[in-house]
Amino acid sequence: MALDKYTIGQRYGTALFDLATEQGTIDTVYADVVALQQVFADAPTLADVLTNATLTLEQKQPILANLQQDASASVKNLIQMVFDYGRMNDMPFILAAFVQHYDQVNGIVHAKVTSAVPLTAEQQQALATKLTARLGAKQVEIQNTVDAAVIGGVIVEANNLVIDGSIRRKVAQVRQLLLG
Amino acid sequence: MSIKAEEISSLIKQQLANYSADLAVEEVGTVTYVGDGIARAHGLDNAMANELLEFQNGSYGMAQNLETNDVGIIIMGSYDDIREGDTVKRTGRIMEVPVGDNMIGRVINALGQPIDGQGEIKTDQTRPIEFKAPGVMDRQSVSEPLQTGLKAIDSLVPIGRGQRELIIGDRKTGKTSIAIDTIINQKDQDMICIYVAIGQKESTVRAQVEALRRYGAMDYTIVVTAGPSEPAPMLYLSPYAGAAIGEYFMYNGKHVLIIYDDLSKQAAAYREISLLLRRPPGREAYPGDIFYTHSRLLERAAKLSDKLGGGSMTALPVIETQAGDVSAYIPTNVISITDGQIFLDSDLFYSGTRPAIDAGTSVSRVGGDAQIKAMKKVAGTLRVDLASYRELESFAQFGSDLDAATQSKLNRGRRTVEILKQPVHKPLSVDKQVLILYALREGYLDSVPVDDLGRYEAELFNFFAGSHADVLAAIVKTGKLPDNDSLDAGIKAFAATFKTSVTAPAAN
Repeated sequence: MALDKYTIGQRYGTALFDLATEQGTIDTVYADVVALQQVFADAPTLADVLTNATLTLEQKQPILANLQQDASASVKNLIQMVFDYGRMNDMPFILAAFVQHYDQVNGIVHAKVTSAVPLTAEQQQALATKLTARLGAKQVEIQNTVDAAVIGGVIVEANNLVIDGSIRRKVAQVRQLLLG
Repeated sequence: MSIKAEEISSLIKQQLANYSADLAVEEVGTVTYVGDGIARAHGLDNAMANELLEFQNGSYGMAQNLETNDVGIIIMGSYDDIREGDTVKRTGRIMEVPVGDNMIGRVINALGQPIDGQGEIKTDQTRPIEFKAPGVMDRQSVSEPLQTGLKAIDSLVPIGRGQRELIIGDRKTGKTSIAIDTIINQKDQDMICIYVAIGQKESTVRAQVEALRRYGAMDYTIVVTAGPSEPAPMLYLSPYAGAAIGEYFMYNGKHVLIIYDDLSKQAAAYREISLLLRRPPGREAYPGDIFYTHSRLLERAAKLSDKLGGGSMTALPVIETQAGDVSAYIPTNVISITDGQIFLDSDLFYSGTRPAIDAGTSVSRVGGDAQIKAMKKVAGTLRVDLASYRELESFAQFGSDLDAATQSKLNRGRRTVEILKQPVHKPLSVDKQVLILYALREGYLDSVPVDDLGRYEAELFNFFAGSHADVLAAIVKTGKLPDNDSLDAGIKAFAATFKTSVTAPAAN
């Protein structure tokens, strides 16, 4: 039975985390991983290209070298190893597992906040303070997306929780109340 | 209508004020896998076992496997438009079905929704579909009879209220007919019947419902059905839903009869779910907890103590065997869980002995205490008579000369078998059963040709209903045989008027 990508991600991610902790390079590794995550997010086909069997090693090598360019030693090794094992399409999950591990240890929570208009820095700061208390975290990092359909208020998604304080939901609720 | 517009707007205003105060906090997960009737979801870290979960498309699911990475969910309803990446919400509730008196007379699915086209069922109560069975001190021993109306069952394998009696046999041996006849015979017995059809053909269920309606049995019956075209989770859940509806009545001091038709199909559905959820398969690929699946269901049938209202739930689970193999996994499991079994034999069935009850292997472990005294008396030697007849029958086929004692035993046995036959949907009240079995025991039938027995029986009942109704009424009232010889006198008077058919061969 093939392992699912979450299990694979957990195994590699935990290994990288443990190694970086031992070597005391955890913060540089974290920065590299976040940068790498951004690369994979920007180019969604990248992972598939690197596992594609129709491309030759020579064709893939330059892309790989490009990825490894500015990375620290352990991340460089990780990229090479994952590539050699043909698990490159699990890379985003490995990176996610590492970040999740790091966040858990350091009490960082990533919150996806959806609002109708972009939030100002002060608003984000105020929201982060509130969420820090509510989620029992040390630090909350807010990623703001704008969706006009929300109408007003915010929807916060963090830690498998959805806190919905949007006008859209209230309108829907009122509609159901009046119709049902 | 005299509601003013201002009142409405003030009401809305009030509600708006309340609604703006609260935030919706939901715990969600992401679907990572969707298969036949099941899904896996990442996240949902705090989900409880058996918790109801809501998918993005409005379908509900039930949390089954709680693992480190994900949660295994069985989907109840449509899973065609659930995609990888969809969100799943926790509801914080466990699975429940609506219960109440308004369910009576309706046909519903495993979720308690009506499917008979007679509109919404108005109930204000629900019960969890998984409920802990009553404990030791909440029960009392089975003492009241549940009359099935079938001579062969009420005399040989009596069933008491609160008992669990298995109906087991090959396909097409009349298992469902026994169940339906039992429901029909509960008319005016202060019973509520629940017929749970699991994986039965929709056309068959329709025919059963029509039969029940024709005999006026839908007035006290609820039909729960999960057809073969529905996803496996519905088949798996339907008996629990039926049990939950039955428990509502039982805990309100009423008497309930519940029929699970059949648990082999439920076991197969559960096996399907378990394999899809990647639980390790055991014997016959059934999961390890298949025994518990059935035992916790059947344990919910009980006779409650008087302190709890004295209600009862009698369970008649049905199991289909393959080629008479009762030593397969599921049959042995359910045999050991129940308080006895009615074994239906296909050879008997095809030789015309219907109901095809095998008297040798059918037993009732607790029902004897619930039999009325009169029935106990007349049925006392029936089992032994039948056993010795079966033994002698094979000898008799050699055609050798037999002594008078053997001859009379064979004679009696042949008539016993004939008397225990009964047409479908023709249940008999207990007084009539006692009457004909009394006539058999006392030897009044020994001189009647076997071919005439059916007619003899019918005419005897007519005769008694006409001129000796008081004797039958006394049996019902006291539960005992009359002290004087009024029964004998009546039968003798009838025998004098009975004419055997001319063409029938002489009694042998």
